Amino acid sequence: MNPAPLLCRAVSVHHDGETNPVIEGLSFTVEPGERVAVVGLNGAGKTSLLLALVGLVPHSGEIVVCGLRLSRRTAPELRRNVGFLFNVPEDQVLFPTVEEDVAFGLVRGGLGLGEARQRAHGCLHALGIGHLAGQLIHRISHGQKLRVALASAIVTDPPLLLLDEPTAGLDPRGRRDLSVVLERRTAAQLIATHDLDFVDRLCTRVLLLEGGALAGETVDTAAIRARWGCDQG
Amino acid sequence: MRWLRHRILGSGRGVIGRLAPQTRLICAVSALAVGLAAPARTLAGSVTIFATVLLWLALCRPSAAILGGTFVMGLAVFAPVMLLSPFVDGGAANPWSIFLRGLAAVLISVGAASTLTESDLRGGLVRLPIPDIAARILLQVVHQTSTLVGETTRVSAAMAVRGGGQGSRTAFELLASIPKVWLPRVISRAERVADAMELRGFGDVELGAMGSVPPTRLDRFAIAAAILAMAGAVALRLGNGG
Repeated sequence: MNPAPLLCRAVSVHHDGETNPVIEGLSFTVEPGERVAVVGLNGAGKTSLLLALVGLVPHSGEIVVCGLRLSRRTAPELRRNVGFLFNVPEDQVLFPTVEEDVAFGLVRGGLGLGEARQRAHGCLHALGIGHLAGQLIHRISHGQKLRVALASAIVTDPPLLLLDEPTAGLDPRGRRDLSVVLERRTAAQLIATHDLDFVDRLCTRVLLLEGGALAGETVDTAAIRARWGCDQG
Repeated sequence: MRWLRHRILGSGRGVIGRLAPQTRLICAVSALAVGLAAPARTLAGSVTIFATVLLWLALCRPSAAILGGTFVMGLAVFAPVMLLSPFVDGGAANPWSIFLRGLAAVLISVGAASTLTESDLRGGLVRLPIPDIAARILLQVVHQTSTLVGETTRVSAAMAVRGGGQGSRTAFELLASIPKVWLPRVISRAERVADAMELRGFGDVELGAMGSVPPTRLDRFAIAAAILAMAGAVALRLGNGG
Protein backbone atom coordinates (compact mmCIF):
# COMPACT_ATOMS: atom_id res chain seq x y z
CA MET A 1 0.00 0.00 0.00
CA ASN A 2 1.29 3.47 -0.85
CA PRO A 3 2.12 5.70 2.12
CA ALA A 4 -0.12 8.73 2.70
CA PRO A 5 1.08 11.67 0.57
CA LEU A 6 1.03 13.86 3.68
CA LEU A 7 1.06 13.12 7.37
CA CYS A 8 1.41 15.74 10.12
CA ARG A 9 1.77 14.92 13.81
CA ALA A 10 1.80 17.64 16.46
CA VAL A 11 3.28 20.20 14.07
CA SER A 12 4.08 23.61 15.54
CA VAL A 13 5.67 26.61 13.87
CA HIS A 14 7.36 29.52 15.63
CA HIS A 15 8.57 32.62 13.82
CA ASP A 16 11.92 34.01 14.99
CA GLY A 17 11.64 36.24 18.02
CA GLU A 18 7.93 35.59 18.63
CA THR A 19 6.74 33.84 21.77
CA ASN A 20 3.33 32.67 20.51
CA PRO A 21 3.40 29.91 17.89
CA VAL A 22 1.92 30.63 14.45
CA ILE A 23 0.83 27.00 14.23
CA GLU A 24 0.33 24.85 17.33
CA GLY A 25 0.04 21.07 17.61
CA LEU A 26 -1.52 20.39 14.23
CA SER A 27 -2.18 16.74 13.32
CA PHE A 28 -3.84 15.50 10.15
CA THR A 29 -3.35 13.19 7.18
CA VAL A 30 -4.06 13.64 3.47
CA GLU A 31 -4.76 10.32 1.74
CA PRO A 32 -3.93 9.55 -1.94
CA GLY A 33 -6.27 11.39 -4.32
CA GLU A 34 -7.84 13.46 -1.53
CA ARG A 35 -8.47 17.19 -2.00
CA VAL A 36 -8.35 18.80 1.39
CA ALA A 37 -8.97 22.50 2.05
CA VAL A 38 -7.33 24.38 4.88
CA VAL A 39 -9.60 27.32 5.47
CA GLY A 40 -9.16 30.17 7.86
CA LEU A 41 -9.47 33.93 8.03
CA ASN A 42 -6.49 36.20 7.32
CA GLY A 43 -3.65 35.48 9.76
CA ALA A 44 -4.94 32.04 10.72
CA GLY A 45 -1.59 30.44 9.79
CA LYS A 46 -2.45 28.87 6.42
CA THR A 47 0.62 30.11 4.52
CA SER A 48 2.96 29.34 7.43
CA LEU A 49 1.60 25.78 7.52
CA LEU A 50 2.21 25.25 3.80
CA LEU A 51 5.74 26.70 3.98
CA ALA A 52 6.50 24.48 6.98
CA LEU A 53 5.37 21.38 5.06
CA VAL A 54 8.24 21.84 2.59
CA GLY A 55 10.79 22.96 5.17
CA LEU A 56 10.86 26.65 4.27
CA VAL A 57 10.08 27.68 7.83
CA PRO A 58 11.35 25.78 10.89
CA HIS A 59 8.88 23.50 12.66
CA SER A 60 8.62 21.03 15.52
CA GLY A 61 6.66 17.78 15.36
CA GLU A 62 6.59 15.29 12.51
CA ILE A 63 5.93 15.98 8.82
CA VAL A 64 6.02 12.99 6.47
CA VAL A 65 5.57 13.37 2.70
CA CYS A 66 5.15 10.17 0.67
CA GLY A 67 6.87 8.17 3.41
CA LEU A 68 9.80 10.56 3.77
CA ARG A 69 10.13 12.39 7.09
CA LEU A 70 11.00 16.06 6.64
CA SER A 71 14.38 17.13 7.97
CA ARG A 72 17.10 19.48 6.72
CA ARG A 73 18.81 16.48 5.06
CA THR A 74 15.70 15.05 3.40
CA ALA A 75 14.11 18.37 2.35
CA PRO A 76 15.56 18.47 -1.22
CA GLU A 77 14.40 14.88 -1.94
CA LEU A 78 11.02 15.44 -0.29
CA ARG A 79 10.37 18.58 -2.35
CA ARG A 80 10.61 16.55 -5.56
CA ASN A 81 7.33 14.91 -4.53
CA VAL A 82 5.58 18.25 -4.08
CA GLY A 83 4.08 20.75 -6.51
CA PHE A 84 3.89 24.08 -4.70
CA LEU A 85 1.95 27.21 -5.59
CA PHE A 86 3.03 30.35 -3.70
CA ASN A 87 0.37 32.91 -2.81
CA VAL A 88 2.19 35.47 -4.98
CA PRO A 89 2.81 33.60 -8.26
CA GLU A 90 5.39 36.14 -9.43
CA ASP A 91 7.70 35.04 -6.62
CA GLN A 92 8.10 31.54 -7.96
CA VAL A 93 8.67 32.39 -11.61
CA LEU A 94 12.39 31.93 -12.24
CA PHE A 95 12.65 32.17 -16.02
CA PRO A 96 11.77 34.95 -18.44
CA THR A 97 9.47 33.00 -20.74
CA VAL A 98 6.43 30.89 -19.91
CA GLU A 99 7.73 27.84 -21.77
CA GLU A 100 11.14 27.87 -20.07
CA ASP A 101 9.65 28.25 -16.61
CA VAL A 102 7.28 25.32 -17.05
CA ALA A 103 9.93 23.13 -18.75
CA PHE A 104 12.48 23.73 -15.97
CA GLY A 105 10.97 21.21 -13.53
CA LEU A 106 11.11 18.50 -16.20
CA VAL A 107 14.73 19.30 -17.16
CA ARG A 108 15.58 19.17 -13.47
CA GLY A 109 13.98 15.73 -13.37
CA GLY A 110 16.38 14.56 -16.11
CA LEU A 111 14.31 15.03 -19.27
CA GLY A 112 15.99 16.39 -22.43
CA LEU A 113 15.20 20.00 -23.30
CA GLY A 114 13.21 19.12 -26.45
CA GLU A 115 10.96 16.61 -24.72
CA ALA A 116 10.61 18.89 -21.69
CA ARG A 117 9.41 21.72 -23.94
CA GLN A 118 6.93 19.41 -25.65
CA ARG A 119 5.46 18.27 -22.34
CA ALA A 120 5.41 21.84 -21.06
CA HIS A 121 3.35 22.81 -24.13
CA GLY A 122 0.93 19.95 -23.40
CA CYS A 123 0.52 21.12 -19.81
CA LEU A 124 -0.02 24.74 -20.87
CA HIS A 125 -2.68 23.66 -23.38
CA ALA A 126 -4.43 21.60 -20.69
CA LEU A 127 -4.63 24.77 -18.58
CA GLY A 128 -5.95 26.79 -21.52
CA ILE A 129 -2.84 28.95 -21.86
CA GLY A 130 -1.03 27.16 -24.71
CA HIS A 131 -0.98 30.45 -26.64
CA LEU A 132 1.22 32.02 -23.95
CA ALA A 133 4.11 29.54 -24.33
CA GLY A 134 6.51 31.97 -26.02
CA GLN A 135 5.43 35.03 -24.01
CA LEU A 136 7.62 36.94 -21.60
CA ILE A 137 6.17 36.38 -18.14
CA HIS A 138 6.37 40.03 -17.07
CA ARG A 139 3.98 40.94 -19.92
CA ILE A 140 1.11 38.65 -18.92
CA SER A 141 -1.71 39.33 -16.44
CA HIS A 142 -1.86 38.21 -12.80
CA GLY A 143 -4.39 35.47 -13.58
CA GLN A 144 -2.21 34.18 -16.41
CA LYS A 145 0.88 34.22 -14.15
CA LEU A 146 -1.06 32.20 -11.64
CA ARG A 147 -1.83 29.58 -14.27
CA VAL A 148 1.82 29.53 -15.38
CA ALA A 149 2.92 29.00 -11.78
CA LEU A 150 0.33 26.23 -11.45
CA ALA A 151 1.58 24.63 -14.69
CA SER A 152 5.13 24.67 -13.29
CA ALA A 153 3.85 23.00 -10.12
CA ILE A 154 1.87 20.21 -11.80
CA VAL A 155 3.92 19.52 -14.94
CA THR A 156 6.09 16.89 -13.23
CA ASP A 157 2.99 15.05 -11.91
CA PRO A 158 3.99 15.18 -8.25
CA PRO A 159 1.94 12.99 -5.89
CA LEU A 160 1.20 15.96 -3.61
CA LEU A 161 0.08 19.50 -4.50
CA LEU A 162 0.27 22.29 -1.93
CA LEU A 163 -1.62 25.33 -3.19
CA ASP A 164 -1.65 28.64 -1.34
CA GLU A 165 -4.66 30.84 -2.21
CA PRO A 166 -4.95 29.49 -5.78
CA THR A 167 -8.05 31.59 -6.55
CA ALA A 168 -6.72 34.93 -5.31
CA GLY A 169 -7.16 37.51 -8.07
CA LEU A 170 -8.93 35.10 -10.45
CA ASP A 171 -12.19 36.07 -12.15
CA PRO A 172 -15.26 33.80 -11.68
CA ARG A 173 -14.60 31.90 -14.93
CA GLY A 174 -10.94 31.46 -13.95
CA ARG A 175 -12.00 30.00 -10.60
CA ARG A 176 -14.39 27.58 -12.25
CA ASP A 177 -11.77 26.52 -14.82
CA LEU A 178 -9.19 26.05 -12.08
CA SER A 179 -11.50 23.81 -10.08
CA VAL A 180 -12.09 21.69 -13.21
CA VAL A 181 -8.33 21.38 -13.83
CA LEU A 182 -7.61 20.41 -10.22
CA GLU A 183 -10.52 17.98 -10.11
CA ARG A 184 -8.93 16.03 -12.98
CA ARG A 185 -5.60 15.64 -11.18
CA THR A 186 -5.01 12.39 -9.36
CA ALA A 187 -2.49 13.96 -6.97
CA ALA A 188 -3.46 14.55 -3.35
CA GLN A 189 -4.08 18.24 -2.79
CA LEU A 190 -3.90 20.50 0.24
CA ILE A 191 -5.39 23.87 -0.62
CA ALA A 192 -5.10 26.89 1.67
CA THR A 193 -7.90 29.32 0.93
CA HIS A 194 -10.78 31.36 2.32
CA ASP A 195 -12.79 31.01 -0.90
CA LEU A 196 -15.58 28.78 0.39
CA ASP A 197 -17.42 28.53 -2.95
CA PHE A 198 -14.24 27.12 -4.49
CA VAL A 199 -13.93 24.69 -1.58
CA ASP A 200 -17.51 23.53 -2.11
CA ARG A 201 -16.83 22.86 -5.79
CA LEU A 202 -13.57 21.00 -5.34
CA CYS A 203 -12.67 19.70 -1.91
CA THR A 204 -13.66 16.49 -0.23
CA ARG A 205 -12.70 17.55 3.28
CA VAL A 206 -12.20 20.86 5.08
CA LEU A 207 -9.85 21.68 7.96
CA LEU A 208 -10.70 24.89 9.80
CA LEU A 209 -7.72 26.78 11.16
CA GLU A 210 -8.15 29.43 13.83
CA GLY A 211 -5.28 31.15 15.58
CA GLY A 212 -2.87 28.51 14.31
CA ALA A 213 -4.82 25.58 15.78
CA LEU A 214 -7.23 23.12 14.22
CA ALA A 215 -10.70 24.38 15.22
CA GLY A 216 -12.65 21.70 13.39
CA GLU A 217 -12.95 19.31 10.48
CA THR A 218 -15.97 19.02 8.19
CA VAL A 219 -17.12 17.86 4.77
CA ASP A 220 -19.20 20.93 3.94
CA THR A 221 -18.74 24.61 4.55
CA ALA A 222 -22.18 25.55 5.92
CA ALA A 223 -20.98 25.52 9.52
CA ILE A 224 -17.92 27.59 8.61
CA ARG A 225 -20.06 30.15 6.76
CA ALA A 226 -22.29 30.44 9.83
CA ARG A 227 -19.22 30.82 12.06
CA TRP A 228 -17.84 33.58 9.86
CA GLY A 229 -21.22 35.26 9.58
CA CYS A 230 -21.37 34.95 5.81
CA ASP A 231 -24.09 32.32 5.40
CA GLN A 232 -26.57 33.11 2.65
CA GLY A 233 -30.19 34.03 3.23
CA MET B 1 10.74 57.33 -12.65
CA ARG B 2 8.87 56.68 -15.89
CA TRP B 3 11.86 55.21 -17.70
CA LEU B 4 12.23 52.57 -14.95
CA ARG B 5 8.96 51.08 -16.13
CA HIS B 6 10.49 50.17 -19.47
CA ARG B 7 12.15 46.80 -19.33
CA ILE B 8 15.71 47.00 -20.61
CA LEU B 9 16.69 43.35 -21.00
CA GLY B 10 15.97 42.10 -24.52
CA SER B 11 14.12 45.25 -25.59
CA GLY B 12 16.59 46.21 -28.36
CA ARG B 13 15.54 45.83 -31.97
CA GLY B 14 18.98 46.05 -33.60
CA VAL B 15 20.67 43.67 -36.03
CA ILE B 16 23.05 42.46 -33.33
CA GLY B 17 20.14 40.40 -32.03
CA ARG B 18 20.77 38.01 -34.96
CA LEU B 19 24.09 36.95 -33.44
CA ALA B 20 24.42 34.15 -30.90
CA PRO B 21 24.16 35.44 -27.29
CA GLN B 22 27.81 34.63 -26.49
CA THR B 23 28.90 36.69 -29.54
CA ARG B 24 26.78 39.62 -28.33
CA LEU B 25 28.52 39.41 -24.96
CA ILE B 26 31.97 39.33 -26.59
CA CYS B 27 31.09 42.31 -28.82
CA ALA B 28 29.82 44.26 -25.79
CA VAL B 29 33.04 43.60 -23.89
CA SER B 30 35.02 44.69 -26.99
CA ALA B 31 33.03 47.92 -27.28
CA LEU B 32 33.67 48.64 -23.59
CA ALA B 33 37.37 47.86 -24.09
CA VAL B 34 37.56 50.30 -27.01
CA GLY B 35 35.97 52.96 -24.79
CA LEU B 36 38.57 52.33 -22.10
CA ALA B 37 41.63 51.87 -24.33
CA ALA B 38 41.23 54.74 -26.81
CA PRO B 39 43.07 57.88 -25.58
CA ALA B 40 40.19 60.21 -24.67
CA ARG B 41 42.46 63.24 -24.20
CA THR B 42 43.25 63.32 -27.96
CA LEU B 43 40.82 64.29 -30.71
CA ALA B 44 41.31 60.98 -32.54
CA GLY B 45 40.67 59.05 -29.31
CA SER B 46 37.54 61.04 -28.44
CA VAL B 47 36.17 60.59 -31.97
CA THR B 48 36.89 56.83 -31.75
CA ILE B 49 35.00 56.52 -28.46
CA PHE B 50 32.11 58.65 -29.74
CA ALA B 51 31.88 56.65 -32.99
CA THR B 52 32.06 53.34 -31.12
CA VAL B 53 29.15 54.34 -28.87
CA LEU B 54 27.06 55.53 -31.82
CA LEU B 55 27.79 52.40 -33.86
CA TRP B 56 27.09 50.13 -30.89
CA LEU B 57 23.78 51.83 -30.11
CA ALA B 58 22.79 51.67 -33.79
CA LEU B 59 23.52 47.95 -33.80
CA CYS B 60 21.59 47.37 -30.55
CA ARG B 61 18.73 49.88 -31.09
CA PRO B 62 17.41 50.19 -27.52
CA SER B 63 14.12 52.11 -27.21
CA ALA B 64 14.23 55.90 -27.16
CA ALA B 65 12.82 55.99 -23.59
CA ILE B 66 15.57 53.73 -22.25
CA LEU B 67 18.28 55.54 -24.22
CA GLY B 68 17.06 58.96 -23.07
CA GLY B 69 16.78 57.88 -19.42
CA THR B 70 20.25 56.34 -19.47
CA PHE B 71 21.76 59.41 -21.14
CA VAL B 72 20.26 61.75 -18.53
CA MET B 73 21.40 59.47 -15.71
CA GLY B 74 24.92 59.30 -17.19
CA LEU B 75 25.03 63.09 -17.53
CA ALA B 76 23.83 63.51 -13.94
CA VAL B 77 26.64 61.30 -12.68
CA PHE B 78 29.57 62.34 -14.87
CA ALA B 79 28.89 65.96 -15.90
CA PRO B 80 29.48 67.32 -12.36
CA VAL B 81 32.88 65.55 -12.30
CA MET B 82 33.88 67.29 -15.54
CA LEU B 83 32.45 70.70 -14.67
CA LEU B 84 33.54 70.94 -11.03
CA SER B 85 36.97 69.27 -11.20
CA PRO B 86 38.85 72.43 -12.32
CA PHE B 87 37.53 74.29 -9.26
CA VAL B 88 38.35 71.62 -6.68
CA ASP B 89 41.74 71.17 -5.04
CA GLY B 90 43.07 67.75 -6.06
CA GLY B 91 40.32 67.37 -8.71
CA ALA B 92 40.64 64.84 -11.54
CA ALA B 93 43.65 65.43 -13.81
CA ASN B 94 41.65 64.78 -16.95
CA PRO B 95 37.93 65.36 -16.23
CA TRP B 96 36.93 65.23 -19.93
CA SER B 97 38.40 61.74 -20.16
CA ILE B 98 36.43 60.58 -17.09
CA PHE B 99 33.24 62.14 -18.44
CA LEU B 100 33.57 60.63 -21.91
CA ARG B 101 34.62 57.17 -20.77
CA GLY B 102 31.98 57.08 -18.01
CA LEU B 103 29.14 58.12 -20.27
CA ALA B 104 30.35 55.73 -23.00
CA ALA B 105 30.51 52.80 -20.56
CA VAL B 106 26.97 53.45 -19.29
CA LEU B 107 25.52 53.75 -22.81
CA ILE B 108 27.39 50.69 -24.12
CA SER B 109 26.28 48.62 -21.11
CA VAL B 110 22.62 49.57 -21.53
CA GLY B 111 22.88 48.89 -25.28
CA ALA B 112 24.31 45.45 -24.49
CA ALA B 113 21.59 44.73 -21.92
CA SER B 114 18.95 45.64 -24.49
CA THR B 115 20.20 42.89 -26.82
CA LEU B 116 20.04 40.13 -24.20
CA THR B 117 17.07 38.53 -22.48
CA GLU B 118 17.72 36.58 -19.29
CA SER B 119 17.57 33.36 -21.37
CA ASP B 120 20.12 34.79 -23.83
CA LEU B 121 22.40 35.76 -20.97
CA ARG B 122 22.26 32.26 -19.53
CA GLY B 123 22.79 30.65 -22.96
CA GLY B 124 25.68 33.05 -23.70
CA LEU B 125 27.44 32.56 -20.38
CA VAL B 126 27.28 28.79 -20.78
CA ARG B 127 29.25 29.03 -24.04
CA LEU B 128 31.95 31.31 -22.64
CA PRO B 129 34.98 30.02 -20.74
CA ILE B 130 33.99 31.45 -17.35
CA PRO B 131 33.56 29.49 -14.09
CA ASP B 132 30.08 28.03 -13.51
CA ILE B 133 29.82 29.67 -10.09
CA ALA B 134 30.55 33.13 -11.57
CA ALA B 135 27.87 32.61 -14.24
CA ARG B 136 25.33 31.50 -11.61
CA ILE B 137 26.05 34.50 -9.40
CA LEU B 138 25.69 36.85 -12.36
CA LEU B 139 22.37 35.26 -13.36
CA GLN B 140 21.11 35.49 -9.77
CA VAL B 141 22.05 39.17 -9.70
CA VAL B 142 20.18 39.79 -12.96
CA HIS B 143 17.08 37.85 -11.87
CA GLN B 144 16.92 39.48 -8.43
CA THR B 145 17.58 42.91 -9.94
CA SER B 146 14.66 42.65 -12.35
CA THR B 147 12.45 41.47 -9.48
CA LEU B 148 13.55 44.42 -7.35
CA VAL B 149 13.09 46.90 -10.20
CA GLY B 150 9.48 45.65 -10.47
CA GLU B 151 9.02 46.10 -6.72
CA THR B 152 10.56 49.59 -6.86
CA THR B 153 8.20 50.55 -9.67
CA ARG B 154 5.23 49.44 -7.56
CA VAL B 155 6.50 51.37 -4.51
CA SER B 156 6.90 54.53 -6.62
CA ALA B 157 3.46 54.04 -8.18
CA ALA B 158 1.91 53.68 -4.72
CA MET B 159 3.66 56.85 -3.59
CA ALA B 160 2.50 58.77 -6.64
CA VAL B 161 -1.09 57.66 -6.04
CA ARG B 162 -1.17 58.11 -2.27
CA GLY B 163 1.03 61.18 -2.02
CA GLY B 164 0.00 62.90 -5.23
CA GLY B 165 3.63 63.46 -6.26
CA GLN B 166 4.76 63.14 -9.86
CA GLY B 167 8.02 62.76 -11.74
CA SER B 168 10.98 64.17 -9.82
CA ARG B 169 8.91 64.64 -6.65
CA THR B 170 8.07 60.93 -6.60
CA ALA B 171 11.72 60.13 -7.27
CA PHE B 172 12.76 62.28 -4.30
CA GLU B 173 10.12 60.71 -2.04
CA LEU B 174 11.28 57.27 -3.13
CA LEU B 175 14.85 58.14 -2.17
CA ALA B 176 13.75 59.40 1.23
CA SER B 177 11.68 56.26 1.83
CA ILE B 178 14.53 53.82 1.18
CA PRO B 179 15.26 52.83 4.81
CA LYS B 180 11.66 52.64 6.02
CA VAL B 181 9.57 51.49 3.07
CA TRP B 182 11.65 50.32 0.15
CA LEU B 183 14.33 48.29 1.93
CA PRO B 184 12.07 46.09 4.10
CA ARG B 185 9.81 45.50 1.11
CA VAL B 186 12.51 44.47 -1.34
CA ILE B 187 14.25 42.33 1.30
CA SER B 188 11.00 40.49 1.94
CA ARG B 189 10.51 40.06 -1.81
CA ALA B 190 14.09 38.84 -2.31
CA GLU B 191 13.59 36.31 0.51
CA ARG B 192 10.45 34.93 -1.09
CA VAL B 193 12.18 34.60 -4.47
CA ALA B 194 15.11 32.85 -2.76
CA ASP B 195 12.62 30.45 -1.09
CA ALA B 196 11.10 29.68 -4.48
CA MET B 197 14.55 29.06 -5.97
CA GLU B 198 15.36 26.65 -3.15
CA LEU B 199 12.02 24.90 -3.42
CA ARG B 200 12.20 24.48 -7.19
CA GLY B 201 15.83 23.29 -7.09
CA PHE B 202 17.20 26.14 -9.21
CA GLY B 203 20.78 25.29 -8.26
CA ASP B 204 20.41 21.57 -9.09
CA VAL B 205 20.37 21.99 -12.86
CA GLU B 206 23.43 22.65 -15.03
CA LEU B 207 23.17 26.01 -16.76
CA GLY B 208 23.62 24.43 -20.19
CA ALA B 209 20.66 22.10 -19.70
CA MET B 210 18.19 24.87 -20.53
CA GLY B 211 19.73 25.32 -24.00
CA SER B 212 22.34 27.44 -25.79
CA VAL B 213 23.03 28.53 -29.38
CA PRO B 214 26.13 27.29 -31.28
CA PRO B 215 28.12 29.99 -33.18
CA THR B 216 27.67 30.47 -36.94
CA ARG B 217 29.93 31.99 -39.62
CA LEU B 218 28.35 35.40 -38.96
CA ASP B 219 29.30 35.09 -35.29
CA ARG B 220 32.93 34.33 -36.17
CA PHE B 221 32.99 37.37 -38.45
CA ALA B 222 31.54 39.59 -35.70
CA ILE B 223 34.08 38.33 -33.15
CA ALA B 224 36.94 38.99 -35.60
CA ALA B 225 35.64 42.55 -36.20
CA ALA B 226 35.33 43.12 -32.44
CA ILE B 227 38.91 41.96 -31.85
CA LEU B 228 40.15 44.19 -34.70
CA ALA B 229 38.35 47.20 -33.18
CA MET B 230 39.95 46.48 -29.81
CA ALA B 231 43.38 46.13 -31.41
CA GLY B 232 42.84 49.44 -33.28
CA ALA B 233 42.00 51.25 -30.03
CA VAL B 234 45.10 49.81 -28.31
CA ALA B 235 47.26 50.81 -31.29
CA LEU B 236 45.85 54.35 -31.14
CA ARG B 237 46.67 54.54 -27.45
CA LEU B 238 50.24 53.23 -27.96
CA GLY B 239 50.70 55.64 -30.88
CA ASN B 240 49.83 58.50 -28.51
CA GLY B 241 52.42 57.52 -25.93
CA GLY B 242 50.29 55.02 -23.93
